[in-house]
Amino acid sequence: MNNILKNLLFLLTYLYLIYLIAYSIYSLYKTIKHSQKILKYQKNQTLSNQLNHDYYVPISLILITSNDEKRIMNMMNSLLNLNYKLYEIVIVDNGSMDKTCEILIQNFKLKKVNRPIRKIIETDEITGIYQSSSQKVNITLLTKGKSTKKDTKNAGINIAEYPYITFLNSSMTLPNDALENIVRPILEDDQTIICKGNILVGQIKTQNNQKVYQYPQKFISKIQTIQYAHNQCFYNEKSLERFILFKKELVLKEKGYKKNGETFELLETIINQNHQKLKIKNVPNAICFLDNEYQIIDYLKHQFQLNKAFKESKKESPLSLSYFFFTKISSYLSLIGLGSLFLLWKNHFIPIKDMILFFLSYIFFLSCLSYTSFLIQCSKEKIKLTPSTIFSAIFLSILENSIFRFLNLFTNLP
Amino acid sequence: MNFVVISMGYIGISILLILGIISFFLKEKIREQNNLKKEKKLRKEMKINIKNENVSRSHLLFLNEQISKTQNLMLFTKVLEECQKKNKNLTEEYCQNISDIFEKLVKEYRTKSSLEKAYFTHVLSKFPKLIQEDNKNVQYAMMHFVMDSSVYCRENAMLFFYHKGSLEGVINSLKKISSRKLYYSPKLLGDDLLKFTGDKQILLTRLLEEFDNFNPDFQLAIMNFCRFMNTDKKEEIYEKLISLKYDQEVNLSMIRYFGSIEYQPVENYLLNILEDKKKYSFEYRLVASYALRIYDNKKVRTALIENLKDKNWFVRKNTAISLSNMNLTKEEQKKIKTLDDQYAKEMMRYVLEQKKQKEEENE
Repeated sequence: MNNILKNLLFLLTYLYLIYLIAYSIYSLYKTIKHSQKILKYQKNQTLSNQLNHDYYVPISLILITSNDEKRIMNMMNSLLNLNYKLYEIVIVDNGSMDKTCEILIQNFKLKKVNRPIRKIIETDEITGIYQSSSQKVNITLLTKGKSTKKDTKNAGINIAEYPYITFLNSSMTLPNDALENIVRPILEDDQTIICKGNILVGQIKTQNNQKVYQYPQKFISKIQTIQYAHNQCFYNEKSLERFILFKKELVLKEKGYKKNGETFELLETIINQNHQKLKIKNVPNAICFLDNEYQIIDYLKHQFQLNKAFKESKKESPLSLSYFFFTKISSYLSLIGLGSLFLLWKNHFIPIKDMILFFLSYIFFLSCLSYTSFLIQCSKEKIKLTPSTIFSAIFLSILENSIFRFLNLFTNLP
Repeated sequence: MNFVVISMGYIGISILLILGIISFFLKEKIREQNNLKKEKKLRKEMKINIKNENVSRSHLLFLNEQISKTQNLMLFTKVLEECQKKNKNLTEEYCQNISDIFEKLVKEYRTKSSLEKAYFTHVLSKFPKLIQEDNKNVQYAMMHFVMDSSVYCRENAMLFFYHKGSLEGVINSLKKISSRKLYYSPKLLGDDLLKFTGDKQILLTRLLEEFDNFNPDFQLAIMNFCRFMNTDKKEEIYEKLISLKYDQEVNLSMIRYFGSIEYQPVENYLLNILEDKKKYSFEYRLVASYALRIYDNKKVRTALIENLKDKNWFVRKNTAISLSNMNLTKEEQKKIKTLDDQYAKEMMRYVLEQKKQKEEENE
């Protein structure tokens, strides 16, 4: 190998190592900042003594389904068990080929109606509208042929009757107090137009008056537990599933979804169009449980979709350095860096032992950060940590930061 | 570049992070245990003193020392709630007996953070007997809480006045909040007014007398309160409605009031709203068309049938709902069926279908 090439490889390797160190410092800073924020919020929560009220902001829950016959009843039961009193459920079925619609129609005694729709946002044709008012809240089912996610969600926006809307899918379930918590900022200030809740992969169950965390069943979904906790610390909003309450008026003003139909796309559009006037509040205690029941292929698809949608939604936002280096070009930098390291090692220019030590310590460090994020989340929810939860989290953090983070490099490429 | 040094750096920071987590959880555990001990002691002391008619001096000194700290006040409230569940009267008596301590505390909490003030007022709103409102220092301090920057503190201080049933306290506080333009959600206010434990009719009369001194948000809440109370204040409200000097939302709330309480003189005013589309926005037409459902006569039905052709979807829906609640003659039903407006017919058909479905479900 000639000298020029060798020097170039060394240069690239050094740059890559500097990049990794910068990333580590930034991650550490973000984790500490997030922890402080959560702990402060937790202290406030203990004292803030709730605004006891009987007033309810009307909310439309827009549930998107597609071939979800196995999970739909679980989701619907969680929605019908909410403590909140004023909400409706709008289910938009995106061309299911299985029995999703039949299950809904039978179980909730839905009847076909000729309801006129205000088509404020253009969508594909609706094939049927079914309604039932025999349940605790009104349920509306919209059936349509298979179309894009954005079209499905826009159809839901058109038919929602209440002034606040939130989007859900059948892998999500809501704890009983989710809606009560997410509307709280609106009672504090009625100019609030967006309330951002949190996603928790898995479930919280109450046993002997203590909250106990339950991991999802599928192994890949367990990995997502750590990933989502980490993303909440680091990116704040990088996850496909989000639990966000929007003021419908503003969503209609922006003509709903225009690109990929991911919730953060709508969030970014609204923020970019109205940046200075908006009141957006984070509500860390408004949580939504998630269990995607993924296999590895679904997981990779999910990651690819997530990265694509995230980049698309960030296109119009002002470019920040951290986003540029640690998200947008991170995969390229990592692949070039790893490639250079590999070539240097192959040609015996750097000792393999040192390199392995470096990467192991790097993975150990990132695992500690991910693990901290997970513990912060548990502490926020006042979950009792059992030894099995703790050890599983350690194991999953290491796995996520070694194998799955490496796999994610490829899903971030165009 | 020395890989080993960097690796050691990583490991070092990771270990610090782990130690940080462990110390955090240990600290939490120790705090929890200390709180449990304090709670046990407090519970024992309070139970003895609640049972006795008079509170011992040593208990007063103990409370004085302990509950000036917010953390301890939280434990005190927890125990007090438990006692209230078991015996309300004895607990109320106990609250009155220790009111001197809380009157001193009012002063202390005035200088604390908004969050702590909010908690303190929350305790007062739950146990209004903890302080005697006629004390001037207390009144002054409560006004201070009512005007705090925290919405929670304001709301809790207001709840104290509602639960106490203090008419002057409520009126003066609302006037102050309104004049200082502090935020108080009209929905919460409307809801809170219903929690007033004194004479609600007198409160409403006073609020209507002071109506013009309040900002539009408050006026809206008062109108909602009036509607929820179902009180006969038709003349006063009609006068306000036709004066046209109030905010649109306030006027709409007045129209809603006449949608729940029938008052013949308002009928022509409502019909005029449906006809004069240039003068009145769709919001007016929307509310008026719904309010008219209780004015079932030929003139109203004819106007509503015409209004089914309104270009606004919501106005058409409310008009259809009103018509579906009226006794339509055969001739009127035929007129609706032969309307030359497809949207009007579609809406009427949908509303009737819905009504039928609901009736079937109820059966």
